[in-house]
Amino acid sequence: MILDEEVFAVILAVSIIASALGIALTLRPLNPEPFTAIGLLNEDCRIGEYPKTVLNGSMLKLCIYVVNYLGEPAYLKVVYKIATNTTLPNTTRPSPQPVIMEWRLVLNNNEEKEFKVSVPVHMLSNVTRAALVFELWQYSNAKGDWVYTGRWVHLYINVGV
Amino acid sequence: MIKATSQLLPALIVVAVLVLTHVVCAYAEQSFDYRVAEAVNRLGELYRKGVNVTDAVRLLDNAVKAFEDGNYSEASRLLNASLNRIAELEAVADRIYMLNLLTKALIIAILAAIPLLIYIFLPRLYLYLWFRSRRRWVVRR
Repeated sequence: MILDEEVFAVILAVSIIASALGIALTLRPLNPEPFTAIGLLNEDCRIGEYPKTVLNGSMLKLCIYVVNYLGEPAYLKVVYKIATNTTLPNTTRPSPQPVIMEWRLVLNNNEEKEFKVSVPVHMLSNVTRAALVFELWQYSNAKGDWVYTGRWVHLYINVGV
Repeated sequence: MIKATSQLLPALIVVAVLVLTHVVCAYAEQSFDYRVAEAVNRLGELYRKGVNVTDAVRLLDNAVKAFEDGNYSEASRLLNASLNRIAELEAVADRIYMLNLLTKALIIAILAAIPLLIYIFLPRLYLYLWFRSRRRWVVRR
C-alpha cells in the first residue's frame, strides 16, 4: 500500500498542531499570575486540630506556612497581632492592632516554608474571644519599606483566666 | 531643688539611654532590611535571566534568621557571603542568559521545522521502507 494522500494530510495536520503547541509552551510567560500565600497550621504543622481555648498570658504553639509564587525571590515577613471582630485585617488594610511579634524570611520563586512559632496570648480582662492574626508583608524596594500583601490568616480562640 | 535634680538625673540618663538604644536598634533593623532587600532585588534580576540563585537565597535567609536571633556578627557574615555569591553569579549571568536564549531559539526552530521535515521526508521514507521490505519479491507474469 502506497501512502495514501489523506493519511499523509492527517499526519501533517497533527504535526503542525503539535509544533504550534510546543512553540506556544516554550514562549509562554514563566509566571502569568504572581502571588504569595500564607497558611496557619497546628503545632505539628498539620491542618486542623487547632487549640480552641488558651489561658490568658500563656504561650501558644502554632506553625506558619508561607509560599512565594511571585516569579522572583522575595523578602517577606509574617506579623503577629491579636485582634477582635472589629479589628480584623482585610485584603487592602492590615489590622490596626500593634505588632506583637514578626518573623522575616527570604523565599525563592516557587519555594514554600513552614516554621513553628510560639506566640503570647494576652487580652484585657473583659475580652474572652480573640483572633490571633498573622499578616504577610513584603519589602518594597520602590517604597523602601514593608508593604502589606493583602494576605492574612486568623484563628479565633477563647481566652480563659 | 538640687536634691530633686540629683535624684532625677539618673532616671533621665536611663530613659535617654533606653530611647537611644531603641533608635539605634530601629535604625540597624531598617538598614539591615534595606541591604537584604537590595540583595533580593539583584537576585530577582539574576532569576529573570535564568540563573540558579538557590544558594544565594539560602545564605540570605540564614542571614535574616541570624539577625532575628540577635546574632549580628553571624548575620553580617552570611549577608556578605550572599552578596559575594550574587557578585559571582552576576559575572556569569549574561552568558547564562544568552545560552538560555539560544537554547530556546533552537528548540523553537526544531519545533517549527518538524512539519516541514514531515512534509518533505515522510513520503520518501515511506517509499524507501516500502520498497526495502519488498526487495526480495519477484515479479511474475
